[in-house]
Amino acid sequence: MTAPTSSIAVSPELVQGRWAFLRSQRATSIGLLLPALIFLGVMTQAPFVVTLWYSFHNWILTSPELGHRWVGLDNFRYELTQDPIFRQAIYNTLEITAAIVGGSLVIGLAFALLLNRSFPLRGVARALMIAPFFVMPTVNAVVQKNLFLNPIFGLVNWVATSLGFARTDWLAAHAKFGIISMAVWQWAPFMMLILLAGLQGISDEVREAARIDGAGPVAEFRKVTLPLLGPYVELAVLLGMIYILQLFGEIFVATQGGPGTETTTIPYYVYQTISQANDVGTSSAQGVLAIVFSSIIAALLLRLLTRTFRRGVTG
Amino acid sequence: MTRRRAERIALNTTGVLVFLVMIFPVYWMVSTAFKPGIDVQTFTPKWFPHPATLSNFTDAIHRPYFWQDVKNSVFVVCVVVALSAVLSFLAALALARFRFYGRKAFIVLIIAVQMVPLNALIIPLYIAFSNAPGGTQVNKLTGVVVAYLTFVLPFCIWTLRGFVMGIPQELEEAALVDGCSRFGAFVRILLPLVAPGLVATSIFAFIQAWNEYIIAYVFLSSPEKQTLTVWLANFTTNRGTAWGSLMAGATLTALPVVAFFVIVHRKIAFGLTAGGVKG
Repeated sequence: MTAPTSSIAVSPELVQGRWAFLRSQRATSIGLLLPALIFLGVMTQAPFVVTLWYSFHNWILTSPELGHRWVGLDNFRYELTQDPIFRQAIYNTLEITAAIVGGSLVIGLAFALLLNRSFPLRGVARALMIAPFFVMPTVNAVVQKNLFLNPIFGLVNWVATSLGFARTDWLAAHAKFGIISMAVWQWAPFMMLILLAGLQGISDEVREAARIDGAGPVAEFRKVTLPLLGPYVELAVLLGMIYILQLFGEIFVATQGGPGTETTTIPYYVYQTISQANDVGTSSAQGVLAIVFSSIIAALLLRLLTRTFRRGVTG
Repeated sequence: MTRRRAERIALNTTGVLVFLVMIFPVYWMVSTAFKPGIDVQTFTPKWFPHPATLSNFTDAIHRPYFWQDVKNSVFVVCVVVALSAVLSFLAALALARFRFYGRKAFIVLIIAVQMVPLNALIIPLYIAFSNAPGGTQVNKLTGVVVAYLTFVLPFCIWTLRGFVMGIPQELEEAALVDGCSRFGAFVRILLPLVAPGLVATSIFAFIQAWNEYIIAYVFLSSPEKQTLTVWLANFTTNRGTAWGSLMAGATLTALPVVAFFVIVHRKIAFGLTAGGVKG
């Protein structure tokens, strides 16, 4: 069953030694990489370069008479020093992302700990707990906005008024909280999924050893479980952040960035600038700034997380 | 012993409560879908859809473009999953098994790409697609597929690379000694071993492509070309929104996917962590 090519691939190595093998290796690796490399290069780097190019121009689609004018760094200057909404959007993005990542991580960890015990129907419970993550974000927003947070018929208000609290229009009075709670409901199961896998990797012997050494449940959790869970927490935060920074569907459906600019995040503001103001130059500048900001946040966060957990493991 | 038992009961009760809270929105969506219009919005909630009706479902599926948009979504998802599996497997092989110039840079590039906010790239993508060689790609499903691959591929490559690295190279070397070609070793030895990773990344690609909203919304302007997320978000009539039908539509689009993934979720958790933590 040996294919004729197989002898060709092996024999040069035997005859000509290492170099030929290395050369063939390089050829194979380039052949394997090229399709994905070309695709990713063209599809992500090219649009980025084009965005950068547009960001130095004044180009408003609805005012063709102004043309397509080179303005240098004016768009960036405007965004960074003058545009009050952009600053608000950065702040909103940070606040909403931090709250969602933090909230879903804590809740997800609690779920993972609860589910990592033996109880009847554990498999079914685990499986059903994942369900929220597979609901489309737009569906989630539609359901929560209209069935739960609706000021008159919403279930949340029914609970609140039954308990004697005043009726509240949640998405108007606490829009940020509304968006955060929607997203946490969706992302907590995701965090749980990853952390549960981590918990299952911690062998019972390690915990038992801690218990024999006199560790109570809290100490066991802090000194054994959490440090061993470190890489999984890192992964969960990194993955979660990548997607939560780009949160769009919930805001688009539930609040449209409002009331005012209360829930206008950077992704939503970029979308608004291009689709409502039709301002290609400015929105490109916003996009470039968004890329810079998210890279900085990711780098800082990763470093912080790594340091925390290294200390946790050794200390 | 009794204290342990009390602890256990307390934890189990908490677990059940948490479980009910988490699952309740899904239940509420489904039960609303079965309620007749008059019961959908009430001051005092009706906990069970009684009397139940299927009229919301028939209304939803007879709405214009529902089946067309189901087809569109399924097409987009299938193509994205298939292409991303092939491309990312090849790239992951190269990254995990070969040393070559620029390898580190490529890995960094992959993670960086994943950090780029999609909205920031929508303008140039739109302009590039409308001037694409061989005719405009705007308002075409192929254009959306290409755009989705952009943000699905980096994650798949990164995860699969972890998987490939986790499989001992000696297995392939043994195959090489036995006269297998380099590529043959990949296909016959490595591919079956990486299959769980491939399943995990494919599922991830599926979720991303199925749930994506902004690109579909911006790129697909005519209703017969749209995907289900856009169809649902646009679910209004001239006389306001039919909540029952909307929930029926939401149920129809969400439940098959939820059911399917609930069955295979173990593989996802395994794949996400096995590929990522070793990173």
